[in-house]
Amino acid sequence: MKIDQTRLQQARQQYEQIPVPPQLNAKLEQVIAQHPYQKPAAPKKTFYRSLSAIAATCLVACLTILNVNPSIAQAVEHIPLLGTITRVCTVQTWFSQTDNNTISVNQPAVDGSSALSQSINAQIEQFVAQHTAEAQQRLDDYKEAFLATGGTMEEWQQRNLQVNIDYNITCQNDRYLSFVITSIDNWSNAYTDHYYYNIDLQTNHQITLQDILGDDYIAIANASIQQQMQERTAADDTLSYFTADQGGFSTIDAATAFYINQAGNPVIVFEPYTVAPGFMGQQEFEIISK
Amino acid sequence: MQQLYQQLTAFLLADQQHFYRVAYSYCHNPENAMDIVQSAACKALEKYHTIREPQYLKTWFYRILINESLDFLRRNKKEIIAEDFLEEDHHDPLSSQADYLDLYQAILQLPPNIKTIILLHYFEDMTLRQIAEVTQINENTVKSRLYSGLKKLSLILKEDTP
Repeated sequence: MKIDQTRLQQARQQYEQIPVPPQLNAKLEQVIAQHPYQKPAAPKKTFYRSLSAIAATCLVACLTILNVNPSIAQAVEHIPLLGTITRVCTVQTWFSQTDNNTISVNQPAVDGSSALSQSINAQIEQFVAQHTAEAQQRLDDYKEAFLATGGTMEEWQQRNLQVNIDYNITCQNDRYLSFVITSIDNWSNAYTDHYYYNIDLQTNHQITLQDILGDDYIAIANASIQQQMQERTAADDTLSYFTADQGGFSTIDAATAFYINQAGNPVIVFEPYTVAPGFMGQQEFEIISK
Repeated sequence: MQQLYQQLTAFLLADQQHFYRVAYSYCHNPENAMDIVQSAACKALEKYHTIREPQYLKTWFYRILINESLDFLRRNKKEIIAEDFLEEDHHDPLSSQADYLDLYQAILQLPPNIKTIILLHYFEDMTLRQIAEVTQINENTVKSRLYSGLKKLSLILKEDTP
């Protein structure tokens, strides 16, 4: 096959003779001036990944030293800050990636060989195992539905769905250890789950609201929650809480979820949609104990 | 990342005439061509941190530029057809044996997906591999579109013609 290069060359000359307006350069310089170099925010994914990796590495190093050398572990125990950190730590960090969808897990554990810590660790293990399995099931179901409704495998792989199971220590002092384990899907708010642990380090028991607020805890918490709801709706009239008739808040009970904040006060938590419209998200009420 | 930014701004200024001619080949109007180049540059400056390999800077930017041009055509579909209709005296530029001077015009009249390939290959000196990157289509598809374009322009000579 031969191509008529002569005519193509002539056409190219014509193309190259298209006059370029002299204003173009100034316009481009203006655009560039409007976009000066900015240090870009690290992409979220990489950030979490590297953060987890660093955290995991540090913890592995830390745990190795503590486990290998009992005298260091004992010494660390007595350094005020480091001592408390050894009480809750990551025992497992891992990612599972299929089709570019990620399940990432930071599984914590409390230290010590007491019956309480063993039972808590068993609960955590069960929570993590159950949520990982459920997350995988949701991903599989979603994939099946996605492909069945005309999505391609390529598009599916671009979804980059993530399930994160992680924990957060909300209070850690001489008296209390409180932390929450969360399981979050990045594509749906419906699958967010929290699990709260509150431990009294002095008695080595899981604390209840009753322990902190006293026998009147239900009345105290209810009054405080009602008052805070009123304050919030008064301060911002776009907010509203469901009434008791609408299935909203009526009273707390012994099973109501809470964590302990840095100040040592219990914070009662209502999942999205339970006491207020979904857009208001999770609702938290700090109960100041006297 | 700063190095990439400098690379991009240098490239935008150095090759601006190329960008302008590419854009002009789609919109046939100096004002619009400058707008297309400007908004492509804008998008590139906003998104350059997503480039993983600096070596793809050129094909990446041409992709933005071509997309901007095609977007412009989509938005202004009606006007362009009307203009073309007035300017052309019902003479089909793709008819065989279009004369030398008409070849460039004939290229401009090709369907956009074929025009892009001829333009980038013969006027912007891109390899088929690079064009595949710009247009995000398979290299073999690029090749077959290129030949179908050449055929339409009657640029393929029979083996026995000297």
